[in-house]
Amino acid sequence: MNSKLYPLLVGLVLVLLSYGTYLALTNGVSKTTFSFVRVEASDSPVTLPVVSTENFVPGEPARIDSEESHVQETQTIVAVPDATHVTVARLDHPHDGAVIGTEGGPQGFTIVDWTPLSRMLNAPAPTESTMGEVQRIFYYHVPAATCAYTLFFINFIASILYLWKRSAKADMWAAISAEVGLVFSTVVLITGPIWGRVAWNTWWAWEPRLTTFLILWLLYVSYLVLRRSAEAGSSSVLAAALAVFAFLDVPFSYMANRFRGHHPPPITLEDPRMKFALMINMLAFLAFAGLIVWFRYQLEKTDRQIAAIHIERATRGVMISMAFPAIFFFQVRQNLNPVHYLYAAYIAAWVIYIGYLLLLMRKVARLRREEEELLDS
Amino acid sequence: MSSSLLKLTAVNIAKDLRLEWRSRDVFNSMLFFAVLVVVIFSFSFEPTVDESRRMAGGLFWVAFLFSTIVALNQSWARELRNGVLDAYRISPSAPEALFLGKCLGNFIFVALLECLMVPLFVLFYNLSSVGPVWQLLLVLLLGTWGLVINGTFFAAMSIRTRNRELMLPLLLLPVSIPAVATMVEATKDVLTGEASPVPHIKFLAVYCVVFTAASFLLFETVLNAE
Repeated sequence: MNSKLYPLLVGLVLVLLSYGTYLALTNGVSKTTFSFVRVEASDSPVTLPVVSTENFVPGEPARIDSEESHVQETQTIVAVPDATHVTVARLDHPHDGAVIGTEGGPQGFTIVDWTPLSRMLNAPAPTESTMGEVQRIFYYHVPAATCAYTLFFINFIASILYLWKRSAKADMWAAISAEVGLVFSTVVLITGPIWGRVAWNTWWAWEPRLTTFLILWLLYVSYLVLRRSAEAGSSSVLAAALAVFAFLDVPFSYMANRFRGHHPPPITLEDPRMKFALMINMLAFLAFAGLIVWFRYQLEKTDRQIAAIHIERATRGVMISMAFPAIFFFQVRQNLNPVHYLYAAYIAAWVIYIGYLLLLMRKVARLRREEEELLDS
Repeated sequence: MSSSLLKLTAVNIAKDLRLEWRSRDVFNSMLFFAVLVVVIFSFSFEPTVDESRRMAGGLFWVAFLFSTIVALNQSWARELRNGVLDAYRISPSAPEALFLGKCLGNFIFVALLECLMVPLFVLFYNLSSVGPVWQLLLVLLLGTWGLVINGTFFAAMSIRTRNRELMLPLLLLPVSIPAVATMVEATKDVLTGEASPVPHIKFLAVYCVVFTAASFLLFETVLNAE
């Protein structure tokens, strides 16, 4: 282990994680407004009557209308004359709010002050307009899912490599990526329902992505159980064969659930600051996952070295148990406070990450003890 | 497929069937288990005709999934006695023949069980199909093959572990969830006649092809795992 590089990397990842969490949790100012008029395309500046011009800055680009309307365009804000008018440089398309028009009410379309990248560094994500605060769970949920998928893919590649070359290194990578991937997918499976409780009014929906993840989680639990209970010597081969089956099963589990009803609306990130917060968190968690894998790899290496000398005491497993406070299940809809759910999801995510790291620490302590005993004797 | 492979497969199937015919260990426990599941479900739910059309698919496949596991646990354990499996491993015969023989043998047991259980289901749940029944036959064939192929493979894997009987469902169920969910949906679609089961049947066919191929490719590795 390169001992000088390691603390530096840990520091860097911690900084990235806190920065990402800051961007995700701090309430960014709202820069989205609505206009309820019909406008035609025009080459000269157009002044649009809007609901509010709070936080709109002249000179910044504005994204007009929603993506589904097919007439979305980006124009520069020339001036903000008063609290209810915005002037844009020109309009390439007519807008009548046909797509997001409220039922029975006036037809409207959105105007978003599109924060430029140069000002993004200190621009936390604003609250999403339809889902509210609870949408912020997304910034932890999606990176965790990406990490889990990446790690499971690494597991598949390593397993194939092991079946082909029978290298102990590939087997080690397979074991580690499955274990760390399981930690990240546990986070996905816990933050998902917390979000669903508020957004869909139900903890669980048999929705393709969710179900696929649950099956994936079950598959890799059985993978780790197999690794730990197979006859000595055969566990690597059997586990590698199971990994191939697990990988083949993913597209099937996605398709099998496509036939079922319940499709939640896809999440559209309506503000560039949301995309930025997601990007930073994605980067932070991928780096975090990489760091854990690296750490776990060194640990596994030491473990195997010790095991080689000291076989009979080296197999004790890390079991990932999760306890879900049952009280959550008895909440009624009227009392839902999205902010509580938001914090519950963030805390649950960290409880799992830190819990896993503590388990690893315990393993380190055990290995150290064994090492000392071996050196003494 | 060479003729020696076919001959070996036939020998394996014949051996399994003969053993089963003499002892009837597996088939009797499977049959009794499935009957119990049907009776217990029927006690607990007491569905009306419409409800039972909706539910029967789920009950039917759950009953078969569990009784298949009962059968599969026995199918390889039998080979461990007197070191039969080790003898097979050092013999020059193709491991694929052994696997294919086991799969077909198990398929015959489960199919026979289904033939006996279907009338019982019709009787207990007062079933009548709205959709065409021949589609149900297709679902049964593909569904049983899907269960048996993965089941035989994972049973071969689980005999290499410490807690054999416990490991098989742990390994088999997660991989089979998509297939079981599809079989249930397809059966429901045929019985209620509300939707076409054809996409589900296609799905099952693809599932069977993919997992049959994967099992045959990996069986030798698992058999010789050291």
